[in-house]
Amino acid sequence: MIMHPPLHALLLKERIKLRLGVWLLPLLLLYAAADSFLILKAIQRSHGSFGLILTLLSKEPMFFGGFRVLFLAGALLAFLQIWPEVQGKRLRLLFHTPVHPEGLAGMTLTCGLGLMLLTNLGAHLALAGNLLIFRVPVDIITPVLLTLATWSLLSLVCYLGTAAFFYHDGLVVRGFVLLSCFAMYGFMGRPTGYGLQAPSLGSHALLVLLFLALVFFACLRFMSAPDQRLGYRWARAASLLLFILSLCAVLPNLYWRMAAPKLVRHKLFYSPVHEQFVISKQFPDKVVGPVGTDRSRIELEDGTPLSRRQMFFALPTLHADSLLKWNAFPDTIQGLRLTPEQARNSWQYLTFHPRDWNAPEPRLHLLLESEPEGAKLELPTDFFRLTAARHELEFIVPQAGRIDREKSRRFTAALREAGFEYPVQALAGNPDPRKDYDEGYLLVDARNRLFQLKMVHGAPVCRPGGILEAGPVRGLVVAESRRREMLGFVITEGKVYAVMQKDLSLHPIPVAGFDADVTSFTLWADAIGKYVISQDARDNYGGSLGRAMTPDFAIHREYAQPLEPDDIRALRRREQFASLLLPWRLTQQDGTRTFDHLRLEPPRFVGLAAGGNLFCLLLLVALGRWKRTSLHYWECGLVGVFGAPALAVLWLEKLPVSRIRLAFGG
Amino acid sequence: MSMIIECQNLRHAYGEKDVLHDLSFTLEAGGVFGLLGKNGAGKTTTIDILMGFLRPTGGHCRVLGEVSHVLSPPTRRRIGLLHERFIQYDFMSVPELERYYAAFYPKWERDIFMELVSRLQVPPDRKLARMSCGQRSQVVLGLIVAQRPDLMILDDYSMGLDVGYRRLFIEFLGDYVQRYGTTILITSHVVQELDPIIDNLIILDQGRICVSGSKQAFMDNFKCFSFERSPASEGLAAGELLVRLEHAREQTIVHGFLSGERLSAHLQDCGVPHETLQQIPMNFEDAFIGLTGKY
Repeated sequence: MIMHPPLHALLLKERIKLRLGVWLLPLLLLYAAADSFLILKAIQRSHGSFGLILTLLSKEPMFFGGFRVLFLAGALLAFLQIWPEVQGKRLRLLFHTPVHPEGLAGMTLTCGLGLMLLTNLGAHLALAGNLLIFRVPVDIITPVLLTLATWSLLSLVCYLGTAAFFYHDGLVVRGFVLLSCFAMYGFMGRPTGYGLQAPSLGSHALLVLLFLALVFFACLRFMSAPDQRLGYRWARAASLLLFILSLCAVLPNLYWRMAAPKLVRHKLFYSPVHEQFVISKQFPDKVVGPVGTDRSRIELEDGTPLSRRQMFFALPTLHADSLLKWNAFPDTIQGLRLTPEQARNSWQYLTFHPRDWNAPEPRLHLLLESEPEGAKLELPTDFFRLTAARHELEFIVPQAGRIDREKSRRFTAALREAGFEYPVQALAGNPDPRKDYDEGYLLVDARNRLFQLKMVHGAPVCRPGGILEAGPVRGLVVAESRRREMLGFVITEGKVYAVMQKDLSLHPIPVAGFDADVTSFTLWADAIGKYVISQDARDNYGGSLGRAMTPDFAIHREYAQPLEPDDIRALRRREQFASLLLPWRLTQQDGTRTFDHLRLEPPRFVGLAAGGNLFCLLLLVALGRWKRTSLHYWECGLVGVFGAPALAVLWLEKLPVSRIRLAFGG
Repeated sequence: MSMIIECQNLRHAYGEKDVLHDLSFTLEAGGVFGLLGKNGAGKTTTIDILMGFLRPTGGHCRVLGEVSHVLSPPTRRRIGLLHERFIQYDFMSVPELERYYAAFYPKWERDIFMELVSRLQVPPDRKLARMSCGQRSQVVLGLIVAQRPDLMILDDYSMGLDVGYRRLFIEFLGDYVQRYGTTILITSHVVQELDPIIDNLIILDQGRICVSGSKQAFMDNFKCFSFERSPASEGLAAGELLVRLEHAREQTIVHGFLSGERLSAHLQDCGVPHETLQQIPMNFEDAFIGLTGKY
């Protein structure tokens, strides 16, 4: 195939520029691969094959942190390609070349991006290879590679950002390029777990495309009439949008770090002694500890203040140890005779948050031996997982790197024989040997029926339980406790069920207004009764709602604790100011999910935001008139939508006529 | 005859400072055109505008029939440019540069390039960055002429070249123009060397055209005279008639577009004694300095 001569010449130029420096890329890859291999080797040497997989499962260490060299690779490659093009006034040489300028820049970028893609592919293969060498199951390899995929995108950002930085000679745009790269690092460079950024990969890829436009914008602006080229106009628009989004990512974080008010924190407890809720209020700047309580206030629902000591008496099962020390433990509590020992061992306290079920399903599971030979529970020597279709259980022996077919068949069949109908809808356990006893796993089958699966002397033991209402199961929790009353909990879209240990029956827990996506709650259960404290995880102004229940889950008291009025006012003022000044926020964190979820959050106070944006728009028009610069409709549109950040970007990029911008003109 | 370059009322400013004031000139096809002026006269800015690196703040400029600030790739293919101190890809060797440039110019003449470059006597794998300034200049000139462009712009071609190569290149250019009919726009600070080659010229001074037209007409009409220095001669002022005045130890030297008789009449009218009035023969460089001044 005869290549078009100019194309061939441009490729030749890239080859000449990179012929030596390009070998740094595989060297960096080699370092990263060796680093991750050695870390895995060290873990395996210390903990064995099983311990290696358990460590990867439970701690999700960033053992492959060495692959951050991909960022360096991107920056280095861009430097090698672009620096020779921009020395002195060499860009003029480039633009005098009889090829369309978009093609000139495009050829450089094509070569560079091609090399970056190859490098990243090599990185993925190297990392997967390392994990396969240690016989890590694909259930872990996949999310690890997804995490690396986010870093791959960030490496492209580094490449494109560096290219744009060198192409452009203006301090303002260079500053924005650095800011944008910093914002992208905040989104893509700090993973909190394996594969948690997978839902945002598409959004990240779109941001990378904006960086691609940024390079064209930086390069083509050196032409004498760039705004006459359609490609340049689009590239500029995309670049300005990128700068605005970066400000929307960085500035709100800075603002809230500075402006977050000190709020009074409330804790609710139900007192069976007073038959009221006890509220502990922690004020900002309080002295923490058993002695310093001058910044906290404890009171009953009706406002009766309590001292710390009185609170201990009000909550005898929670503070049994202190009452015992004072020799003041009551003989009876609500007519029930309890010893301090019984009181200490009779309570169960659990917290539930949407993050717990808006999270990746555990990739591998551990089925403990429920009846060990010794007194203590021990970790097993294998893992199990569901097959892709969720029709079978598979037990994996990590030392051998193989599936134990016989055990898998046995346990799968045992469930089926107990009436379990595949595929598995939900599965959960508590595979921590540091507990008093083990009740195995809870599973929900295709008909929404609950089952329990244990391993007793190596054999499967299955028990059917209650039937849930139709609908998806959002979460399943197993929590063995000394009370041996509630074994676990089932979370659906709108309800929470307790699974009774005796017969696996289901009892709904009356969490007020429960919504699996937003409601967080704590549950306290003891021999006297139960209570649940719930709140909306997304509502900054909402308080807490407490419901006290009888042992059979009937509500007998309810109490709502709102935020302090001063706190509400302080929050509202700050949010109003934020809506006025920074109407949009580009963020990835979501308090109700473990997954990263990149999104543009709208302003809370839309009217104020609109007013602020209108003011910014008028200011832009006035500035344009003052500087005698014409404004495009879309530029006004950007300010009308994004407000002050857009105004700042446009003002700095477009309006001043500085010597710096004209320096290239000679 | 077709116009290669047409500039009308060209104006340009850097911020508040105007650097070109209503420049108007045309360049016809064929021949060598000198764009001359002292440092800061506006030559480089004019070339930047011609090549589309700058957009003029006023006026119009067309090159090979296209508006200068939006020259298309096919038009650029017809223009050979030597500009801005011979900027080049100095990470390439001579053969690599030849391979690179040949791909863009269908009329590429490798023989011409080799003829100019073979005299360098450097190893073929030596990069441009490791050559001397003069050697780089020779390579770059070879790249330009090998393109066989319709328009060749040579901005300060002589930088770094020794006197022998400069002479060789000027002779080469003369043959080149004869053979290929290329139009050349040339500038140089070694003005005298351009004398044998340029046909037409523009001389710029502070962004304005002082002289425009054929070189021969300029030389025929621009004269230099000297006469005895006196208090009266020191009172003479430069203007339209007397372009430049210089007072040496015993002589007053005058440059202007005027004949001896016209000067004599003017001096008579001004009461300036000029018994030793005589014309001083000038070469091209003398005339240039006489027009633009020594500093």
